[in-house]
Amino acid sequence: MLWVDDYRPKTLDGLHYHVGLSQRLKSLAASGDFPHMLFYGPSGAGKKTRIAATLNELFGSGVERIDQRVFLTPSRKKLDVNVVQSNYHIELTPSEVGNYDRVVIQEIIKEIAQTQQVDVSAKHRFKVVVINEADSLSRDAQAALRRTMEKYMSNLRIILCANSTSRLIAPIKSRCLLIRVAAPNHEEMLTVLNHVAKRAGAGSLPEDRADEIISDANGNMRKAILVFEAMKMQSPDLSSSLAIAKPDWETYCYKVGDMIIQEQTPQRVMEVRTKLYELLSHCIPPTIILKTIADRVVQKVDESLKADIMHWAAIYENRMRIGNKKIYHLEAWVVKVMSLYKQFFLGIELGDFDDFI
Amino acid sequence: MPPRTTSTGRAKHKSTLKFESPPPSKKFKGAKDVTILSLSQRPVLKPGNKPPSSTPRPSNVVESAGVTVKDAKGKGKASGPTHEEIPDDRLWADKYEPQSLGDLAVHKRKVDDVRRWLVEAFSEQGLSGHRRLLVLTGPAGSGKTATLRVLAHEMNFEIIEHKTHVNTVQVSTFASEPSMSNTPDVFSTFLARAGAYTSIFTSARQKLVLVEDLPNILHPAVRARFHDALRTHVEHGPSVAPVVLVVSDAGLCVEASSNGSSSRDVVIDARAVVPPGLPAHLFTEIRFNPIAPTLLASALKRVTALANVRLSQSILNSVVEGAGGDVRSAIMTLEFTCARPASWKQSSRSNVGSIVSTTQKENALLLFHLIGKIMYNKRKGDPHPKSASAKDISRERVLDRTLNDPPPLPPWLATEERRTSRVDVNLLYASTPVDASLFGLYVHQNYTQYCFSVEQCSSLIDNLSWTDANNSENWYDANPHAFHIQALGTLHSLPSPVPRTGQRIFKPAFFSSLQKQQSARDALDQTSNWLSSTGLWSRVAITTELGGVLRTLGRRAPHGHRAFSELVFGQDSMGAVPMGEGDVEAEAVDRDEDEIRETGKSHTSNDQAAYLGYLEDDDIEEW
Repeated sequence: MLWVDDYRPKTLDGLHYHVGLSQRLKSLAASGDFPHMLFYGPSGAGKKTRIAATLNELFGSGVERIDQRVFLTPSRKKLDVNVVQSNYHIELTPSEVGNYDRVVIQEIIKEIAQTQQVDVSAKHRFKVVVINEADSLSRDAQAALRRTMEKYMSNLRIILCANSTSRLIAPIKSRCLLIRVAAPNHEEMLTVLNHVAKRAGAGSLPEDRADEIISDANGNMRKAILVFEAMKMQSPDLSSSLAIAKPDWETYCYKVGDMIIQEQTPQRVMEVRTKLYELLSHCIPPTIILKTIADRVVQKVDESLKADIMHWAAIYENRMRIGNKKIYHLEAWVVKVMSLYKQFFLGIELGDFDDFI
Repeated sequence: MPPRTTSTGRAKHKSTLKFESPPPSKKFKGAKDVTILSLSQRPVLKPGNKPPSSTPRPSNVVESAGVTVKDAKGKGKASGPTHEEIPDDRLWADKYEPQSLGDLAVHKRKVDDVRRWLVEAFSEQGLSGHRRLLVLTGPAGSGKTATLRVLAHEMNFEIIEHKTHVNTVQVSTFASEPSMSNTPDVFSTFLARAGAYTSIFTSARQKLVLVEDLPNILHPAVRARFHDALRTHVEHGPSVAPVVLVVSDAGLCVEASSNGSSSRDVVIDARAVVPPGLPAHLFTEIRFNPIAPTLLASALKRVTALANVRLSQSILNSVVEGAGGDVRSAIMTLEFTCARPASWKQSSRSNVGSIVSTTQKENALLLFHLIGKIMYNKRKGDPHPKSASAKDISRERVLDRTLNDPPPLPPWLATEERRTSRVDVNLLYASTPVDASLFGLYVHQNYTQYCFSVEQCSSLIDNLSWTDANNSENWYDANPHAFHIQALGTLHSLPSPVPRTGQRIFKPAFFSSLQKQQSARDALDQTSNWLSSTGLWSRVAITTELGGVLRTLGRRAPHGHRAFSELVFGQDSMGAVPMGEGDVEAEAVDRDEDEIRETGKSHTSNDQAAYLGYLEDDDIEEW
């Protein structure tokens, strides 16, 4: 299917970078016992690949199957969750069901924890639950997780996978072995891209194209491979520009950023809002919208404004997380930037504006 | 016979009878002042104003009222046969319901629309195949059912009415399969029978199925069954009776939260009632507007003439004003107003005023005007607009005199100094038809038109953002001050006076965005399933990283991925929709047209504006 999936390393030995980490995971798997673990790092760094490879090391290559499980909430609402399952583990993304994630966590853990491993030939007595996107779990779900992690230690291990640990409650962090998977650097990414090119029979990847892809990917290995594949499909000799392989929303965000710089009027606020609505209605996460537009705007403005713009982006991002209507906060940031930018040009001294927050 | 809402009073009187057992002959002599006496008891809201001839133990009586209704009625019936004439104790609204077209308060053109539809539906050929389903929508008391009944009388057709029988609905236990689908079963049976059989009691050749009592279509399963039944019936062709659905606007109750899967249709409107996918030519929607004040006034005059009471013009006017275009409510108020104790005689105006104000419809303040009041941000000492009449100016002066100036702010807060606002936020809050969350969305959608600079915008939107972050959608931890914070913050941020450039009020694009987000999410799930043969992809990764690949895959990619992956700059699918006719909110449309026609003037520009569904800003101020 996709190159990212096809040429994903299956074993710890097959991984191309973070060799030290791979070694540690390997010896951990060999030691017989195994703690709860929390893998964290930027997206596309290879967290899931490492988790899969570790499981492979622990249990050997088992047969994996993909299921759709149905959970029932107390109010009898049905929740469909995709899970990947083998005899030794189950992998799922509870945050898919939004506020009902606690139900999913409780059900699945109860089920796994209360069934003993009956296969005598099994290497380990415990099963593993892999929870993706652990940082977007609700407070309730995290609390539910915390209790069960201690209670069922004898036949259950949990592997959490998150982008950042900042949104996990402290009791969970303290119960896990924290494993940071950093984004690969330029050389590491180049190695992987060349490896993929070779495996896919795509011929050699020209140096300059590779550089372009890597700098655009910004440490996201998955994105780099996807862009590479898209470019390859578009024009087999890789002559087309990178922009063709980029997702639409990125370009769209840049243009919104340009709109903010061009004009600062209430009328323009209205136009920008329409664009923001458009982005939101395409399921682009609001945090990513804010980040992308802010990156673009910051590139274009005077040095003295950059700190302020990012400061307000942080404030409104925080409000966005607490609040309900994302559009208010996105727009509030846009208008704030417009007003800052305009005042900068009018030469008005803002003074200690920030003291009022 | 409709349930008696005045029964409290009747019971009171009759229970007195029961206690004191007066001679039966007195009974119906008393019956006349039953209404009067009883209703005089009703302004409980005014404790200081006791009617003179009250019974010795009024509190006791009121308590027992609810219980004694039944048995008092039984007594009445027992002694009934001794009197030839049984007084018609129905409410005026039912007693004096319109008999002919002349009595109908509905605008002529609406009646004509309905009649034309009926004529076409009953004709032997031509359009009858296309006139199978008519949906009458509009606010309560706008004469939807009355129009139909009058026309039935005039055109001589029979109305078969569907009534939901409450006692046939089984209460399902939670353990078993939900069996709420009972009602739609009844409904489909009803439709099938209504189409097949004719009544033996009428001479009417034609018949029509009227459905006022809708099953609980907010429940998805029930709605599906209802739609099926309706579709089967409608697609049966002209051999079965045409169906008329009457849908009253139940007010605006929109769930304004953006989190998760709250994609419920909470508003019952024509779209929810009509089966989706029904060919457009098969159904017609006719929307009724609130009754115009002029028509309402003449309808009230007719009722007063029939009831043989005399009321001053000023009382009639205040009743009309308070009713907000609801003819049923207006007649109720009228009945209530007339039912005062004899000792009040030509009662003072204050009494009448209080009666009218207690019976006034609660959400008389429409969303449209609420937003207008906030957005125009009128403050003490605003210059008068050129169009203002002398009366308006004097009214504003009087208002300004009542407003006290706040103490001046210290010099370091001089930028926050504003003139005293003419808007009373407490009053708005008391009469607002929407919750703070929806109110915020309306302000958000419209504020930019009323700002001069981005600084004003910034302060306003920051306030909205703050309120949203410090509020919750859950009722138990919602911020009780959200409305006030939003309203006051908005007033504080808006310039004063605001620019007047013929702004129009738009509906929030928020909901259509939410809807599109939902369908994009469905497409996302589809793509995620397509990918899942090799592993789990997170949603964020799919939306943010996969776009390029999906595009190059072309037709090999799952169908529908464009809903989230394709974004073309400059192609906006969501234009803002102005509030207009066909909305719950913009109500004054019909009135304008009527008044223009009746005064014989032709304000083409105004007319056009009304037709397009928005109002000139002056109309808002009048309110």
